[in-house]
Parts: sequence; structure tokens; C-alpha cells
Amino acid sequence: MVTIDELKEYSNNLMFNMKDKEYETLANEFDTFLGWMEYINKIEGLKDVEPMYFPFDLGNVELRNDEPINSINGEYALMNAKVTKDGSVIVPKVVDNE
Amino acid sequence: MSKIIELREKLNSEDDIKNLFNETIEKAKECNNKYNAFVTITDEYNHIDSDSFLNGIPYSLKDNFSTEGILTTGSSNLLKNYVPVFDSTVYEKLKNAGAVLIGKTVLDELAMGGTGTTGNTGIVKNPCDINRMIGGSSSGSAASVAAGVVPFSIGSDTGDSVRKPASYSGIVGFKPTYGRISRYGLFNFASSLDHVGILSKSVMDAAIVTDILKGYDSKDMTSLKDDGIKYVNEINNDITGKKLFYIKEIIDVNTDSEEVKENIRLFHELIDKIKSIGVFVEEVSFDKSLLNAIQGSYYSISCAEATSNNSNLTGLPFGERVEGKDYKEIMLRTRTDGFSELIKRRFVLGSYILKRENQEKLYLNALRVRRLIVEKMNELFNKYDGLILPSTGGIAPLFNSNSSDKLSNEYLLLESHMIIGNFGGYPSISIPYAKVNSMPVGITLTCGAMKDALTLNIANKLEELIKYDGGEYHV
Repeated sequence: MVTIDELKEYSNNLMFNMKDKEYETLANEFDTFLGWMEYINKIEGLKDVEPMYFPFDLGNVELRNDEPINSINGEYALMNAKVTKDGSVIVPKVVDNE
Repeated sequence: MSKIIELREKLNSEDDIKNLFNETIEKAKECNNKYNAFVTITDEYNHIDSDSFLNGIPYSLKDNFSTEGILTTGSSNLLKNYVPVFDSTVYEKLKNAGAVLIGKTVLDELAMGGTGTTGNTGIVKNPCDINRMIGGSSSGSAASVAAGVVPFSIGSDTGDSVRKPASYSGIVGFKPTYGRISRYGLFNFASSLDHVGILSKSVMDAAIVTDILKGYDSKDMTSLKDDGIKYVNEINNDITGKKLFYIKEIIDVNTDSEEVKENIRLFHELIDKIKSIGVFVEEVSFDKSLLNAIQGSYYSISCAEATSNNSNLTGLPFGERVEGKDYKEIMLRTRTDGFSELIKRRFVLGSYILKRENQEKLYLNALRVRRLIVEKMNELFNKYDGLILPSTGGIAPLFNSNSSDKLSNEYLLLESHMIIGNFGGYPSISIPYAKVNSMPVGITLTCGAMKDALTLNIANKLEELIKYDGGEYHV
């Protein structure tokens, strides 16, 4: 079981808040999901199986020389940032006083 | 019947192409009024002349593909004013092939949904019945093709996001082998499951577009070297003697739904018809404990990857920044306001799965199930050419039904089996085959990895056999 307080902590770590009612929906989903996983964890011999991170072996991954092949002008790359100065994104302060 | 070839034959000059663009823009506007398929309808005519099949052909693109200088939102409030500074490889290739972009289509927010109801610009309606969902997440792409605005659209498919909306709206939805088409510039949802896909009115059109898009891309390390096959040239090969299978445990459904029962009855009718043209079709048994693990494993892998992939959405370098007293508060407010509830729930689940103390049981075990399913499927693909199943159990759900993106124990294997295609990176295509309660239903054909030409070939022959006439839903 996951408590609402734990869910609030998780969402806070992910840098967003949710409404109280949304946490209730989420708690129900956790119950459903953890039920599924409990079922999965009972599958025999699972721990001896190698996890599969990709659909198949990506045999064509080749190392290349460490040279830039594509680049975007810095100023252009920042055109979607709301507040910039001298090629940097500006925030109110960068040193935490806590 | 290829809509692309039909249109191409009418395009003899730049004026013809421009006129078609203008006509299509008007249709897109009407389509938007009726079905809410588009986030952006392109004002600017942008055509590069080429000698490809796609020269002058209008198309739409899901709004999670980067288009330099054109709004690309992912249907999320957090990116509602985001204008990319580079092109996705898919967009670049289509531009160079002479295809003409007419608009960016609505998706379930950040492609994380299957209903077409969670995009920030509102719900997408199904052109076959506006009281019904079209499914997702490539919702607007499916609507724009089903409504006859464009002959093809580009979508993305992480669990079934191209094939399900295609099935619900009576069109073709094809996702080639993982990596066959570059994902560069596609917003990542779950990188190990994400595929670029094509929605079209015919298998031939899906082949024409795939021929243009496939190939290795140095900007995507997971893209595949080109197989050197021109799929349109293989599409009419004789399929006599090919061997297909369906999975007993997925078809044997215990349900009260008359629609699902009818769909299964029609599926068996189709199987008999396929056998009559000299194709072997056999029923195969598959370990039910593994099939029942598909849904959980999928949510574990996809939510974990999505949480990680979307951690870049902070509002600082791009996105709808909401001011605060420091950078933490800016991020907190931006992400609180920018994401819908569904997305937040998926991210919390993903973060929980990735916690060190949970990884073994929740994440790695899901990846182990993935391997067991894929190994079993690969064994079957050594014996058979392809897997055939109804794409979904039922027809497109009504908006006022219980169908939603909330996790629930109430699901049928028939509604989630297409995930197998993403687990193994298999080429998989949904084609319309019948109507149930006046709504289209599809079958999905899935073949072994790298067998894209074979998939399109068999699907094309099945399409010829089925002769589906779903009627037209012109705007």
C-alpha cells in the first residue's frame, strides 16, 4: 500500500503538485498497478531471466570520431527560453540560501 | 486503391500542387470544426520539387515531431508556444521528397494516452461517429486521414498509438520494425518502445511512405541500416503457402459484450476466407501467465522511461515558464500548471518504479517478462510468417462510456495485445476488415523483426481479399 503522504512526496520530488482528489485517483491506480506487479513477481524462474532493455540487439551502433556533426547557434537554440541574457537562461537566483 | 497514386496522377504542374494544397487547407479547417483534428493548420505553402511518389502530396504530422519554425506542442500546455529550432528527420525526408505539410495533429498529451481526449486543445472526435472516441494517441492523424483530408499522416506508436486509432476509424495503421524509421526529433515517450508509424487509406500508401522514410540516421543511434528493399515492389508477391497463426488465449474471450462477440465471429469468418486462398492459419496456445503480464510490464517500462525522458520539461530553456521566487519554484509552478492530471499520475508511477528499492521487483521484472514474451514470439516467427488477431475487442468507445486512461483491472487481452509488437520491435499493421454495429473494426498482422516487406506484402493481399468498403467520411 502506498499512502497519500508518500504520493505527495513523490510528486514533490518530481517538481509538481496535484490536487487532493487527483491523489485519490493515483492511489487507486497504484493499487491496480501493484496488483499487476504482484502477479508478475510470481512468474516462475523470472529472476534468472536477463532484463530486455531494447527489442533486439542493436548491432549497428558504431563509435565515431569525437567531432561535432550537427550544431545549432546558441542564441537561436535559446529562442524558446523566456528570459535570457548573454547566451544564458536567467533565473532569480542560483545559490540556495537554505 | 492508392490515394497517393490517384492524387499524383492529377498533379502535372506547380500550379496543380498549389491548388491541391489550398483545397486541402480548406478541408483541414472544416475537419477541425467537426472533429478537432489539428493543433496547427499550415498557412505557408512549402514545396520542394522532387521526382518521388510523394511529390506534391499533402499530409499531416502528429504534433510531437519537431518542425523548425512551426509550432510543436505535444498537445501539452507546457509546450503550447514551443517552436522547434530544428527538424525531425521524418519531416526533413518528407520535405525533400516533395510532400507538402498541411498541418500538425492533436495527440493525447505527450503521446501518453489511448483515447484522444487528453490533448490540451480538446477531444478529437471520430469521423465515423462523432459521439465516439477515435482512440490515441495519434488521434488527429487518424481523424485527418479517415475524414479524407489527407491521404496519409505520420504518427507514433509506443503501445498501439497508430494501430488502435486506425482500427477505430477504418483506416490502415502501420508501424515498421523498431528503428526502421529514425526517431530523431520525435518527442520521446518511452524510447525503447517508441516507433514512427504511418496512417493511410491503403497498405500500398503505407508502403510508399515507408520507402521514403526508412534508413539509417546518424542522429538516431537506434535507427537501422537500410535493408535495401523497395517495399512497393514486393507488395504484390504471391502469398500462397504462407503460414499465419492466432493466439487462442487472446481470442477465447469471456465477455458479455455483443460487439466483442460479433467481432470474434467475423474474425473466424475471415480466417476461413484466408485459408481458402491457400494461406495456412493455425491456432496456437501461448502461456497465459505471460499474456496476463503484458499490461503491467508495459506500464512499468513505459512510465519509467517517460518519467526520465520528460524531466527536461522545466520551463527554463523552453516551455511555458511560470515565474517564482527561485529556480525551484519556477520549475514546480511550471510543471504543476503545464501537465494534466493523467501525465502527472504516469510520472509519479514511473518515478516510484525507478526508486532504487523498487527497481528489482517493478522495473527489472517487467523487462524480464518482456524478454520471455519476445523469445516465445521469436520462436513462433521461426515457424510462422505472421500473427493475425483482431486489432481490438470492441468498437470505438462512446465518449460517455467508462473507457478512460485510468488504470483498471477491467481489460481484455484483446484490447492490449498490440503491445507485443512494441516489446519485440516487430513490424505490425492494422487494416480495416469489417463493421460491427456500423463501426469499423480492424485486424492486426504482426511479423518477425526486419520482415517489413513481408508484413506489407501479406497485408496488401489480405486487403485485396477483404475488399473493405467502409464508405467515405469526407469533411
